[in-house]
Amino acid sequence: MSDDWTPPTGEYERPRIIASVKVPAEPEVECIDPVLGISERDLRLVDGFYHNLGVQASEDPSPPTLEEQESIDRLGEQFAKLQAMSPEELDALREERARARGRRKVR
Amino acid sequence: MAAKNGRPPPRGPAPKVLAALAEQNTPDVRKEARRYAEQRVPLLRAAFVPVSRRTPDELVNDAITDTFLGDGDPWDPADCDLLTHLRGMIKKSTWQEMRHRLLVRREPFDLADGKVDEALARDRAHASMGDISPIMLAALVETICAELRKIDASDEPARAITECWELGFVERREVMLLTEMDDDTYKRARDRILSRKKFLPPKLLAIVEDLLDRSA
Repeated sequence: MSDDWTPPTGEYERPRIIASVKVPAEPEVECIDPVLGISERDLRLVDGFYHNLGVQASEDPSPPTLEEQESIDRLGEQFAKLQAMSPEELDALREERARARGRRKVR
Repeated sequence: MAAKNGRPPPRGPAPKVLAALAEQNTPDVRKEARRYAEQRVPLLRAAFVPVSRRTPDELVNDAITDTFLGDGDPWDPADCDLLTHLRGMIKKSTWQEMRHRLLVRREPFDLADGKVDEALARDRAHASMGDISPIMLAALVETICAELRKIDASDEPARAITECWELGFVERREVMLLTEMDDDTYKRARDRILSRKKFLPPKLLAIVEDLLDRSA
């Protein structure tokens, strides 16, 4: 018996997930936190929900608030500083950020 | 490999990528990226990651800086626009941070090491110091998953989208490819899913979101 629910006429053909897709790069962990009962699948669902809330928020065409405008200006200034750096300064920044990432990993 | 003049080749992205970055890094794109980043903060907070009012700015600045330096996932302007790339960088870094925190948390509860009481005491101490309940993320995850799984079985597009999210495919382009959905069907279904936020217990959302105020 097939569990294909599609009616004979096919008028409700379900949007389907194609099988031949690359799997996520991270190894699947069956249960991320067994005590709290959080599975990787659940966490991905919530991550997808918040990601799409974020996409929706970023599509909001309303003008920036005062606080947002200050952030936008500050981010612009930080980018200008980055552009003005010499190759040596950029290398030093790369190394500093790599060290910070390493520290975060062992934390 | 050394270049012909004996100097090492310059590190970082190709000049055309840097030019595209300078061109597309407009105030509008920074506003849009920041609004995206703001929506990631409650997740970080619920996963016990320290955050402040500056966290959205820091997430955007990190993504722009990484793109400029050529660190992390390289940006190909022919593949997607800068906003999409920045959102992807922010999503990835926050996802990794959240997942890492949970995996670290997993160790103290390993029943095999026979130190359960010690681990629970540590956890209670952590919770009392930071005003954070260790079950906050679990509650958030459980509540949101329960709500999303209430989506009626007849709403096939919405069900298909949430299935993609569960597998880690969250971008419009990849979801549309995987489900063979057209743009209009996708957008309406996605909006139906996101509108379920209003059914989530306001108290839980308030706890997560208001923690920002306390940490500011």
